[in-house]
Amino acid sequence: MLSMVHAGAMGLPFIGLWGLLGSDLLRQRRDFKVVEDPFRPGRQVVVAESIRPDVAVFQALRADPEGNAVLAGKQESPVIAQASKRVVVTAEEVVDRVTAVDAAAGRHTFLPAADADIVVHVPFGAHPGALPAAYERADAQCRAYVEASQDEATFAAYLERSVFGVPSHAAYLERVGLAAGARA
Amino acid sequence: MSAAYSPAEQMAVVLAHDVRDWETVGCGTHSPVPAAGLLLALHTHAPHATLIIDGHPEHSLATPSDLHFIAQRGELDLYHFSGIQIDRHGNLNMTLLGDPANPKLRVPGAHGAPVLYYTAGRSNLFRMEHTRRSLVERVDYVTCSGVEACEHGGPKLLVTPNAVLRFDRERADFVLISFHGGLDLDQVCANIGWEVRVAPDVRETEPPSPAELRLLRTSVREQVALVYPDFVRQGHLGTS
Repeated sequence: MLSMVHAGAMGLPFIGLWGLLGSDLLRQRRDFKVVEDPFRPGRQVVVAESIRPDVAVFQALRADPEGNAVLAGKQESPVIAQASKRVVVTAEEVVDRVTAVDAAAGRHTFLPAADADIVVHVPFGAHPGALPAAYERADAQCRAYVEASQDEATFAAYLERSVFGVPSHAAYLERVGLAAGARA
Repeated sequence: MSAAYSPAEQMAVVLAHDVRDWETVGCGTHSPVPAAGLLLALHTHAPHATLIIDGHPEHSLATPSDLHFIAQRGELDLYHFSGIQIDRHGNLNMTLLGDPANPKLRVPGAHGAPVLYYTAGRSNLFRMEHTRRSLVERVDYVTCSGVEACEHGGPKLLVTPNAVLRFDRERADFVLISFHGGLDLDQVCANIGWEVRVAPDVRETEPPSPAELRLLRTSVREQVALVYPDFVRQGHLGTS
C-alpha cells in the first residue's frame, strides 16, 4: 500500500487509513489493525504499519557518480527511495552530472543523490522488462518466464538455465544478443 | 449481430450518462470501457468534468499517489471498478478464486481499491462477462466490501454487456433496472449467479444515439487508443 510507504518515507510508525473495513485482506495482513478511532469515538479505523524496505533498487536512464539519477517517466520512486534504508541505482549510462532540470526536460523523474547510496553502471538492467524511453519489453523472454513458472520443476530449470547458470551481467547480455559489440 | 452497436459501446454510453458536469471522475488499469464512457461524457454533457484515466497522456495526474490522495480528501466524485467476481452485495473480488488458503487462481490484486471504493463519492462497477461465474451470490474473497463502502460512498450501477443493475443501499442488493436491446430478460437474469430482483419498471436500456456512436467511433476512439490500442484494434468502438 502506497500510504504505508509514504508513512515510511515520513519516518512515522503507522498511518490511519479510510476504508478497508470488511475486506478479507484484514484477516491475512498482520500489518493492518482495526482500532477505535481516537478522534471519532465509537468508530473503527484501520491503521497500517509503515513500510521501510531494507533495500530498494532503481534502474535509471542516467546517473552521476554522486547518485543523482533520471528515472524514466513520471513515477513514485522517490518516495520509495526515501522510505528505504539503502538505495541502489543501476544506470543505463553513468555521466558526469545529472540535474533535476535534465529530468524535467525529458518529463522524467529526478532522484536526488541525498536519497541514493550506491550507483552501478548496468546497461539493459531492466531487461527482459521494458525501460520506457530506452528499450521495449523482450516478449519472447517474458513469455518463456511465464511458461516456465507454471510449475515448480520447470521454474527451477528456468532459474538454473537463465539466472544461476549465467555468471555475469555481461554474459547475460551476450546470451540475449545485446552484448556491446552486437548492439544495433 | 442484430444491434448496430457493440456491447462496449452500449456500456460506455450507460457509464457516460452517470457522469455529471464539473465532477472529478476516473478509472484505473484494464478499464477501456469506462475510459470510453468518461471521454464520451466530456465530449457531450460534461465538458467541465476532470477526468483521471490511468495511463492517458492528458488525463493523468502527476503521480499515481495523487489519485489516492484526492480520493482520501473526499474530492473524487466517481470511480469505476471491476473484479474477477462481483457479488449481489457489491463486494468485489480482485484477489483469488477458490479457497483463500489454497486458491485455484491468483490475480494481481487490489492496488489500493479497498481504500478507493470507500473514499470515492460513488462507484460504478463494470464486468465484461455477464455469466454466473463472474456475477456471483458471494465472492470467494472480499477484496472490497460493498456494505462498508456505503459508509462514505459505495456502489451505484453495475453494468455488463447484457444489463444495468442499480444498488439498493437499504437492502444492500442489486436490482436489475434494464437489459440491453435485443436480449431476452429471462435469459439475462438466468446468467446472473443469484436470484436477482427485477425493477417493476424494467425496460430496455436506452441505446446509444447516432451522435453518441459517431463520437465513440471518432474522437473517443482516438483518445482510448492512446491507452488501449489493442482494445480499439479489436473493433469495440467501430472499425477504422
